[in-house]
Amino acid sequence: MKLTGTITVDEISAALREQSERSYGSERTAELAATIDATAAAMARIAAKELALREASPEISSPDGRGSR
Amino acid sequence: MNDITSLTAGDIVRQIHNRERSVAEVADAFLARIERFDPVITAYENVNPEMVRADAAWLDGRLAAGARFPLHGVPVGVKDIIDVAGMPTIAGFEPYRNAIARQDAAIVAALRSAGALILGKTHTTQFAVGDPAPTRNPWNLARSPAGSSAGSGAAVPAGLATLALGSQTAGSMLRPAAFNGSVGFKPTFGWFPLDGVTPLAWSLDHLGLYAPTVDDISLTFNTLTGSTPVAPGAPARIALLTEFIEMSSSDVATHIQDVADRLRSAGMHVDETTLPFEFDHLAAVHQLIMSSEMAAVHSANLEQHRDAYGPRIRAGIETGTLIPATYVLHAQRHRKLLAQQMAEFIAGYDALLIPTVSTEACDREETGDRRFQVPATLLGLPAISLPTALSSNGLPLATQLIGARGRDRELLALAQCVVEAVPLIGRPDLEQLRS
Repeated sequence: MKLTGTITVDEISAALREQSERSYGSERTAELAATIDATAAAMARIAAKELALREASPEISSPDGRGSR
Repeated sequence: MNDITSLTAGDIVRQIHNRERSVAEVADAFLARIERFDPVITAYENVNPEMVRADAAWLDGRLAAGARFPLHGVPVGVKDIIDVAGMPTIAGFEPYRNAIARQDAAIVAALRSAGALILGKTHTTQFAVGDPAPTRNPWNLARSPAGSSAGSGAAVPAGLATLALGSQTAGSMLRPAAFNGSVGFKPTFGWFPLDGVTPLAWSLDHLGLYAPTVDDISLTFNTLTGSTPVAPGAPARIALLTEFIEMSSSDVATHIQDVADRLRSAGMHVDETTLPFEFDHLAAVHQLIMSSEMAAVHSANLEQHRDAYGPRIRAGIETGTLIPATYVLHAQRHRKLLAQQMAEFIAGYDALLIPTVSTEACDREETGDRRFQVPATLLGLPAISLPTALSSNGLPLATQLIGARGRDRELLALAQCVVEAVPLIGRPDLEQLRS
């Protein structure tokens, strides 16, 4: 799945459902619909805030757990 | 409530040091109260009276030999995701019912070294997530004790323990404190060791304390961390975050505005302001990090024990496995930026002031709204919940203070000033329990 500032909740939700059907089957995916939609909304919200190439490394990106910048 | 079970931790220690009471008397009083009321409250998963009495006798023997421990004889309940040697750590998960811990978790060992008396293991929601525990709210049995630290949160105000250990990965320490009317404190991330604790999400898991008073929290925190208390400084400067007032029920919103007014009357500066970022953005970052870490922790275990998992945690784990790594890393980058923005913002204040929860205790089918506890969790900030009023339904309402990272002692000193201006509610009368 792409990580871009323009990706929509619907696009993410569709991708998550497709992955869920492969992992857990269509019946379970239907049961997970509300959780998948909430997760898709959170993913779209953070994707919308793009970060510059040199901005904030995650704290898990170095052996000491502090990030590199 | 009989004498001993209504005492603060500080009073128990003083009375034991002065030989006014023995630890054995304390143990017997709490065991009797647990026997009488816990069939209703269901705070405890497991109590072993023989172990408690043996530990009490050892502590009395040490006192007779001249030892005076800082938490001598203080009865403690331990959330059942935290190991206590010789007892199972079930974590609300039936396949673990016979999983006896060989040694104490680091935090339990530290409490024992300080002279605390471990009473037993308290109920948790399964693996400290959303499927409700069997515990009942001591103010109203029909209402939720919250979660995940339901048993610990209820045990202290019910007089079934003087102190209790809980944990928080989203809102599991502070929300039970609010719903059950206990003081609850979650220190800065990493200040309490997690060795011997069942994980939920590694970068978010915190341990915390429940106690009847802020003084007892300070006593225990300083004992466990080897800290000395600090005195309050100049009149406090507090940021009242108005977006949380707007998201609250009318009872809660009115109460927090009243708290702010009373703090102003006491000479504190309370500014109305907002977070330096969108709250919904912070909540989304927390959701993705927690879901993905939870999935990484539990996915293999879920495959082995699918039927033993509760419906909410199972859905959370399965959905968490679907989140791509790129999104998790993007969330981690945003977490770092949020922490930087918060550090700059909070440097202008001694604490942030918000309600602990948006509502009073909800019905038992749910564990309540976790949104207001998430900022302190995601950013690893110390936070304390103070039960400062009763709602029109007779249920606790709570005030949350959030401090800067690492300034736990300063936050506790401020919390003591706050409760001098806005007194804590008392404990529920268990004789008058409503169903």
